[in-house]
Amino acid sequence: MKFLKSALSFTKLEFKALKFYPSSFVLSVIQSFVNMGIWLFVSLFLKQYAKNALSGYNGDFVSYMVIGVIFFQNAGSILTLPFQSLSTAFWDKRLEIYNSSGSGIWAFLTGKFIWTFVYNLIIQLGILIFAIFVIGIKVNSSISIVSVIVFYLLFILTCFGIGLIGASNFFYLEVKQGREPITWLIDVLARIFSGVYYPITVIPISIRFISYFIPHTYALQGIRLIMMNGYTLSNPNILRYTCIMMIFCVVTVFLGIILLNRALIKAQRGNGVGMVV
Amino acid sequence: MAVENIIEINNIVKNYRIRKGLFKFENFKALDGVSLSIRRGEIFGLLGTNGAGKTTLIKVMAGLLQADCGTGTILGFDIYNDHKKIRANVSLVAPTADVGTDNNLTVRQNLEFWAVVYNLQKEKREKRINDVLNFLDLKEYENFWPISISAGMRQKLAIARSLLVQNPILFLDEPTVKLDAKGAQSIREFIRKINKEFNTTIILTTHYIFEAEELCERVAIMDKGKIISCDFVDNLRNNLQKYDSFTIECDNLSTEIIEKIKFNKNVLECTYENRALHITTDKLENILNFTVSFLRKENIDIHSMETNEYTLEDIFIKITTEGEIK
Repeated sequence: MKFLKSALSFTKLEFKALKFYPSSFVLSVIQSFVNMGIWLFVSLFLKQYAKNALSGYNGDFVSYMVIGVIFFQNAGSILTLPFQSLSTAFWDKRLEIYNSSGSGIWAFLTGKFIWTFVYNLIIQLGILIFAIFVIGIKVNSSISIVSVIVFYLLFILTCFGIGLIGASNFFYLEVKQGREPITWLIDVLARIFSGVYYPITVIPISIRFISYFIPHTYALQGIRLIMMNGYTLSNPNILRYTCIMMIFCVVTVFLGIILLNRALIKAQRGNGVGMVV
Repeated sequence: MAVENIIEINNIVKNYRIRKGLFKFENFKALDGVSLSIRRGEIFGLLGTNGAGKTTLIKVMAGLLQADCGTGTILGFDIYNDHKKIRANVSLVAPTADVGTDNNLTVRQNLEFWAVVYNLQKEKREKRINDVLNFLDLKEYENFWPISISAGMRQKLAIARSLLVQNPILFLDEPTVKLDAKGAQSIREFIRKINKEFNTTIILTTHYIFEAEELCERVAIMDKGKIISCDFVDNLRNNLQKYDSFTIECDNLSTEIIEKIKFNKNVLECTYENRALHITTDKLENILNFTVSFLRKENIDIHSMETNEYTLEDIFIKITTEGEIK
């Protein structure tokens, strides 16, 4: 409970910063709309050609694309969050001070995660509602909101877990700014192989196997099937995806916590969390 | 009554790994066999030039860095196995006040934020923040943005943050660096006040010798990762007694008189320039008495006389250039 309170105080800190600079929120919203808009136009342009490849999704390439892009954007910011947070705090010389408090760096990272999750949720939900009611994205009338939430949470937690694994490179590989290799690789692979912008069936069979190692593939397929086809968690396909996502979620979060903890201990044995090697 | 040591470290060694190329690293010995005992309730100074190892030693004692070898306990907690407990029971103020201070929060909001991070109970929070603000004379600035107050005030805010939890040990890493004389003096007064009112053990690093002399009962002088001397300030002076000197202002001293003074085996050096007889001796009291008596006997008028007591600065320069006082 104490840990959660401590984490929430970091969340509040972000909120206070946002109150001072509301323009950054407005710009984030515009940026998300622009991203979605670009892919919307691409999908409108290609929808006739893509129809046959998307028979499993009622041939609706526009809805397929927009839903995919919205959830992918959201996951992307969570994926890079732990490393970017450590990096920012490090260069602001705050990391060591956070580490010296009782709750430590974990409260800071958890607080940042809660904030980014809520912040993105508000923006992406707004875009989704706009996409449904203004652009006319087709969502199944018998959509199971619970199923969407379950998939969404599993997806976000998995990305956070991968993010934690990547953040451990802050001390293992001593990468202190820019991008670190693990989350960069997952991000690149997900863009190509997880079917964000096109169904994975268009990927050559010889390299398609890569898709099955990326959690984004299952998350995006599952969310689309639930939203577009009205499937629920009881559907065998969705159930299979749920199980796979649960495994991804548990493994990545567990591994992320262990690796980052070990990395922090390594830092303490080495040059400390606040010093450049 | 037995003196309680709340910090005991023995033979601590700490190496930093410094990158020299893409895959090339070199070790830099930041601490080289440091041993130290610090008593409850004292203000202890770590004195040394930049790169002497003061901050590294503070980080080891604050549980932020693990030593490569050596043994030690902080408040009875082992420095290798209990670093989380150590961190929870000590406070650390970084050299620059802006570290840990959020400019998007007012002075009070900053303290409210840290009170939660430090797990202060909700019902105690408000009172504690008010107490700390009053104690450090920050109350009138509570609704100011940190960026709009002076550097000295910001340093006070950093100290206020560390006082939210009443930890028995407070580490202050160069607390007056970058402050003007007035701001620095104010911080020094509060350091004394914190120590007196809360019986907080304060370990401060500084390279301002007068600051250590003004605040600390005991000081450790560090150089190149080693503690080359550690004692009460007075003892450090007394250890240099053999090098004490005095100056007597008098007229018309002949070479013969000077030679007679020099003849005393306890006179190490004797010069006479511009009416000033300057004597360096290892037995100050004896030689002072001897010289005065001798000059009177020779009918020499003595206009003034002063002993040149060593300041901590003299001691520091002497020790760091000559090595440890035996």
